[in-house]
Amino acid sequence: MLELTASHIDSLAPNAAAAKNGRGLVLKNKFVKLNVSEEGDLIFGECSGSGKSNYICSVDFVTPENPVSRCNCPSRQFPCKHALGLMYAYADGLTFEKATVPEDISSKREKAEKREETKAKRESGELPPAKPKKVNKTALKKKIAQQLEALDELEKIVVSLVRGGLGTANARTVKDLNDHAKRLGSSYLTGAENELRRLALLLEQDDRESGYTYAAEQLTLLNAFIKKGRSYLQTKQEDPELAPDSESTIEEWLGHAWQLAELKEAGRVSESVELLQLAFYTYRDEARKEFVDTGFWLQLGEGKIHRTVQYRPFKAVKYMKEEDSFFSVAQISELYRYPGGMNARVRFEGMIPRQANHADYDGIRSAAAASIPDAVKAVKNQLKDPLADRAPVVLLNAARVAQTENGTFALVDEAGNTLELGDVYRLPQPTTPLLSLVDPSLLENCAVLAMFEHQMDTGKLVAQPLTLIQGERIARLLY
Amino acid sequence: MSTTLLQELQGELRRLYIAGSDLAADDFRLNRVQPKLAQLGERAPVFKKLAEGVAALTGPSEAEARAARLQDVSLLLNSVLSTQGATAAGSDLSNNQTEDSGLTGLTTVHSYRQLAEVQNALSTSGGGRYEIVLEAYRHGLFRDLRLFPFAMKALGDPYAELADYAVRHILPSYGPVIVPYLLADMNIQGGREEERRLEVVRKLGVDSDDQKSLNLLVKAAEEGSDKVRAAAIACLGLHPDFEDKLIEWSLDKKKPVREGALAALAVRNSETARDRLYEAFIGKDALPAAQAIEASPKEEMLERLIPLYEERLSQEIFGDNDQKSKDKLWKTIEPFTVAFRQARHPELERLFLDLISNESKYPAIGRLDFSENLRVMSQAAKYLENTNTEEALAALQGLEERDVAYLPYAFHATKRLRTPADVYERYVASGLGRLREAVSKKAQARQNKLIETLREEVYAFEGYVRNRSTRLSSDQIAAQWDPRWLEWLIDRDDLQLVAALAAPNNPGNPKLLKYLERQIEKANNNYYGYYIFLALDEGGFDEETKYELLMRWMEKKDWKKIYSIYHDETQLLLKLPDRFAGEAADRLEPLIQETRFESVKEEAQEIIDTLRRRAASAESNS
Repeated sequence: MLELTASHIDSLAPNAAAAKNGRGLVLKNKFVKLNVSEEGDLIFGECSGSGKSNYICSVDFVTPENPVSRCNCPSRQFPCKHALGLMYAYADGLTFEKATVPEDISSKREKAEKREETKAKRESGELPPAKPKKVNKTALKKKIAQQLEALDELEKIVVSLVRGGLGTANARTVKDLNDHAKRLGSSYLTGAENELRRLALLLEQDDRESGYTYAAEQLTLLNAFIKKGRSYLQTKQEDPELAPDSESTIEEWLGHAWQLAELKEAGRVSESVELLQLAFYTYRDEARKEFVDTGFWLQLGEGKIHRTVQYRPFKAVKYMKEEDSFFSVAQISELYRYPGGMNARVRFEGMIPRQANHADYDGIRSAAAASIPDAVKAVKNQLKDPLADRAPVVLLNAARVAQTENGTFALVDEAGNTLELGDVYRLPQPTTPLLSLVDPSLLENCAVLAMFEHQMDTGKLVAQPLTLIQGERIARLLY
Repeated sequence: MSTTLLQELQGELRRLYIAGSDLAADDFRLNRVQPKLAQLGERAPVFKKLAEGVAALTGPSEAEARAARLQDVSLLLNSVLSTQGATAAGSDLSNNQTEDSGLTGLTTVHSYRQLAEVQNALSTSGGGRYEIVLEAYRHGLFRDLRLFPFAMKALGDPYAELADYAVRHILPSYGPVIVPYLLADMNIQGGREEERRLEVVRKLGVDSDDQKSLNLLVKAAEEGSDKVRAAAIACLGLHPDFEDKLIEWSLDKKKPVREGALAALAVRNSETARDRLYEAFIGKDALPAAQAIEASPKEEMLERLIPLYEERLSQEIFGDNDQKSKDKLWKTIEPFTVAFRQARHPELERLFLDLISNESKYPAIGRLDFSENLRVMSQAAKYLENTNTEEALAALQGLEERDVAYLPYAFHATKRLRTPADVYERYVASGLGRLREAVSKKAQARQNKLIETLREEVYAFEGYVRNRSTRLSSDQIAAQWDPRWLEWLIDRDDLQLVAALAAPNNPGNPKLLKYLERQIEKANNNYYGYYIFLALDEGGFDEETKYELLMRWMEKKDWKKIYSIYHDETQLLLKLPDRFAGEAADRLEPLIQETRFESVKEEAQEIIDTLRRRAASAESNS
């Protein structure tokens, strides 16, 4: 029998407003008909709207990790408020009459089943595999040549900026950079486009002093990118059939968006994985012109911290699902891993939630690094590579989190090593001020999820606490 | 590895990034660093590489190549520095355990979506934020640790209502533990925001053991801007140590400071504090002192003021009664009306009773202007209306006889002490009342006042809006009001009050029905519609009658002119019992043909469809 909790439904909702409206429909008794299939894997019903006829909607749990909602309302959000309302009504224990599955849905189910079957057969080799995508070599060569040319252009503008100095940058420079960024985008270098726009944003920043520090860092980063990108593209130009480099992040820097099939082909899939989210946040990335929903997840049993990233372009915000904090354990059948460093990005399509239990919480503790120097070493090792993720996240064990004499906080491990905590530039919000407010007992013998960042101007490697975990108590300082 | 040298080099390179690499040739500061790097390079190859890079950067070369050199050296340096970041705590760890903040009850269970909405609302500007914050507070979202900093930030919100809401509700809900946090963030030169902050502090009270907070308050009281000084001083009333200072401040040159000090002295309520307050009250600062006493009316203080009030009211004044002398007199009386607003004291009751019963004993009142006189007398009457004594009732009724303006007080007191029938008798049915009413203008005024009073009694006010939903329940009406009121009000044609007093089993109900039928014929406005159907519901009429009248009401409408169907009407139509649904739909259908607005037609059609569906399903069920 189907089990639905309100929090699971919340997580399926595309945004808070849709969830609220869905609940509203249940409260206002808008559902005229509520039905459930004999097998209990489909709920369907009718919901009265402002029009003459009711909306007919259904939620199909035939694949429980990926419920399919269908509705004849014109909303572009999926699931729409009617489907969400239907689920809330079910979770609230309203009476659903048993009924046979409507014909249109059973035919849709059949079609989906058939699709799955052929897919399975193709994989097992029973059917000839789908025609491999034919790579148009001339087109690819042309594309690479264009990318290389654009890299040269980028180098020129960077060099001219370095020659003139950041001090001479003005509104005109910023405009030039932005225009140039646009051209990079149309030459298939979207990664570079974003980074150049980020540079422009840093030069626009009100606080010029800190802007300069980060802008100088950004310039060296562009330098590293140009060099590495060029040599990579050159090898590719010689052998266009070369598969994309699935070990380093260079493809992503160049603007390649990995497809799940490509990741699968490169063997970057783990099966039956359980993830527990430890922290979540969303920020406005002006350079990408996107909202970025970021989640940090612990892979239970493995001890790795993965990152989920969802980009929501400003222009499409209305139609995309806004991710949310997730408090249960996500059971995932196939986890796709992107190339990357300590917190490589992962993706999954569909998951089944389950309540976190004792063993899971114990898992958090044992996954945490016991020694601060070891963890810091790993972090520094990653930061050494200029193109690696600049803000790695690590789970650390702390004997205690203590206050220093000048009021800051520091993490102390079993051996007495200390790690000063501070606030990271890359996060939208400070969290260290909250440390003085939490229950002091939570600051003893706990695990801390922290984000690191090297600050060039002070020469400090700063760690910002995101979440405190002690036994089954989890205090998320971010979200 | 020498991190200081590397950090120094980083600083120099940053300088060149800002100034431009074209200026790097023969840069003497880099030239000074270079040999040191070279020296270290003999042992560590990385330094050697850096030294070579720096040498190439400052040496002769093409401008573009120089830029590339700067980029390369910087890239290498950044990589090296990234492995050298300092992580250890900058100063010694204090050994004491972190102090309990007192806010440990705060949770972290809410999700991003729940929190972000409120956080955005409190850190941006624009419409719709107030509702979000209110809603969040009602749902207990501010018990989440992560919203606490935002709650503090709300004090400075550009939308004053929101900031005031934080002062009144959100921040006090955390309890006195937040006082140190509030004070730690205080900017003593600030303005309204800081005033609000201190208002919260005053509300919550500062712990006497919290020396740090008290010191901050004293600092603000002494050195702050005028507003901050006044607000900070007002917080110090509870602490005996500051009494001398308070007295000193109460003599300050600046008025806001004196006000703050007087407010604190009223709270302090010691012998000396009272002396000073009394002194201020009879002196120049009478009004601020009165406001301080109003906010914290202490028995001892009242005992000193009441005889003084009596004395002032009973003094004989001679000479011309011109505006100037009136103003002068009012200045001596007004502070008392302010100070006694919240006060309760047996002596005060005695004084007010005497004032109302024997007004002539207090000649000073007679010399006041009409409105000021009314203020003094109304305050006394208001005080007495809730005392529930026979003497007070007699006095109020006497006052009412003299001046109809005081009818509400007497009516209220009568209603508290007498049976519903007696109330009716006194105000309406006594033969005298009826006779008088017919003849005199005065009686007409009395009746108007009575109707106005009734309205106050049966409908509650919410803000400035009379809330229609707060009508008393039928049971209450039956128990507290004489049934004859209904008929009397029908005769006076006050639909709103008729609706308020309608109750089942009222003998006047047949008359009520006729009256309502007449109203339906006559009135065509949603305002009337609401009260007509409210009266029908509350009067306990059967469904048949209600249905018929509702249909008549709908048919009476001028469908050519209406541009929307009121929500009330839609609800009434949709609530019709199933057995009438079909017929109602049939009767509505021809009506809407006349309407000119498409939206009205659609809306009505929707109602008709719903009714039809209901009728059909009722039929199939039976």
